[in-house]
Amino acid sequence: MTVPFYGRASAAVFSPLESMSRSELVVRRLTDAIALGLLPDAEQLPGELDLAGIFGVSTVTVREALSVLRSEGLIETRRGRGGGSFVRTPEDGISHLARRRLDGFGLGELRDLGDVYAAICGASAALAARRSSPEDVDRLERVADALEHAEKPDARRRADAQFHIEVAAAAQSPRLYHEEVNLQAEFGTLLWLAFGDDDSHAQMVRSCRAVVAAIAERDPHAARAAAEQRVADSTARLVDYQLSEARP
Amino acid sequence: MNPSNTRPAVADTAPVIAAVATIAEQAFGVATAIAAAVEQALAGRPAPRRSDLAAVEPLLVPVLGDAAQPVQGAGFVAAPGVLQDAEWWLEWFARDADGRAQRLVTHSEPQAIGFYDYQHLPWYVVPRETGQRHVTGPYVDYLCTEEYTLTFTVPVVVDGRFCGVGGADVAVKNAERALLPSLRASEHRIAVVNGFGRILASNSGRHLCGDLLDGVAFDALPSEQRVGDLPLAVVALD
Repeated sequence: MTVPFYGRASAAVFSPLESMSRSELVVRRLTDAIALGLLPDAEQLPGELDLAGIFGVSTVTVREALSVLRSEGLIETRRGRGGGSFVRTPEDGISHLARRRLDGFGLGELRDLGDVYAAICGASAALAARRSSPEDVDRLERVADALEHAEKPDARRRADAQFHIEVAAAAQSPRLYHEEVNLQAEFGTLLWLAFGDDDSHAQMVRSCRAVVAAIAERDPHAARAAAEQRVADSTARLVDYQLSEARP
Repeated sequence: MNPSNTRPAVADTAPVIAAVATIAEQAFGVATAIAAAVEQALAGRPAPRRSDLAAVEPLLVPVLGDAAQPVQGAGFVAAPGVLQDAEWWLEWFARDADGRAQRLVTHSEPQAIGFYDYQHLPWYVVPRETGQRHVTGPYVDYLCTEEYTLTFTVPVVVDGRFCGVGGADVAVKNAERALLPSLRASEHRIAVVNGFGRILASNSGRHLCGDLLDGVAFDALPSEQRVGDLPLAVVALD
């Protein structure tokens, strides 16, 4: 096959579709879901056949992935009646999983991930400022209230996730919504390592109010700036966190 | 440009309004049938359970299997506390890629991260508050379809008590497909908007689905521009 030269971008077009193997993708998807708390402790996973159908992979691939998760202690498989694979949240909680993922990132990579997240959040907020109905603004304000009143780290994290999702929904864009959800799984889990305490919570609430105020004012520039600043501050906090962790 | 001041020609609007009304009739037909089945199932039952909702699924299987009609998901959403064995519950089914009805699995446990409190969502709130049917959207339905959607809901009332809503989803993409022939036939630029002036569909590249149209005073629109009693109307763009 001859690949015509279209410039450097063609290298990306004609590279493998995914750089990870299919079983690695399944492992990552399930690990992220456990790390996000979407799959709570003791939850039973669908059977191998169902998982293969859901992910669109072979049962062999599913079996490979489950065996990796088993060796990492993230699932437990019981045989016989009432058997199956069950989620096992690590004893030191899901932050342990996130920390393990964070170890794999260089500081520059974190910055890069933060840049993408800022782009998505900024674009969502700017569009939301143009397209929000009064009903949307009410909902954003209610979520901001819920974030302010949340006391436990878990509840704060849930409210924060919901806030981002409401902004993407107010932008009237299913694609931005999907990007937001994916980035929350990829980056949100890491960010929350450095968040949850009262000081960072107060900062979260302030920045969230700034985004809502700009959307209510129907000011796309201010909304974009506030949302980008919010992500930039979070990323900086995460990088500081990683720098402060003593690692061999 | 101030759309609310310009009256579109009836020759342009009437076919569009008829097309919107057809979609709404089909969707409300499904939502109403679900509500009637649930009302019948819950009547005289002081402590209903999820298993009492078994009549919903067989009602929806033929509808969702029929690709010629626009409804792609439908069901019953229980008011919190109505069912004994689930505080929050969606008895909801959606058409899968093969045209079969699949039960929607949502997080009904308030502590789960994927859980969303539907008590504040307009497709639930408006029928509860007004006792009337309602069209929500276009909006990003992050609870069920994760698509750009219109949701048609009617209240479910048993012995004078609000018990939830019967509803039907129509993807904006499908609604648009049904509306485009009449929009294209129009001699003028027109748009279908909701009660907030949000565009559902138009025949102009400058006014796209999801945008808010400034200057639409919905309540002041004459009846010949409105789709019956629904929060949908046709307005002029030029």
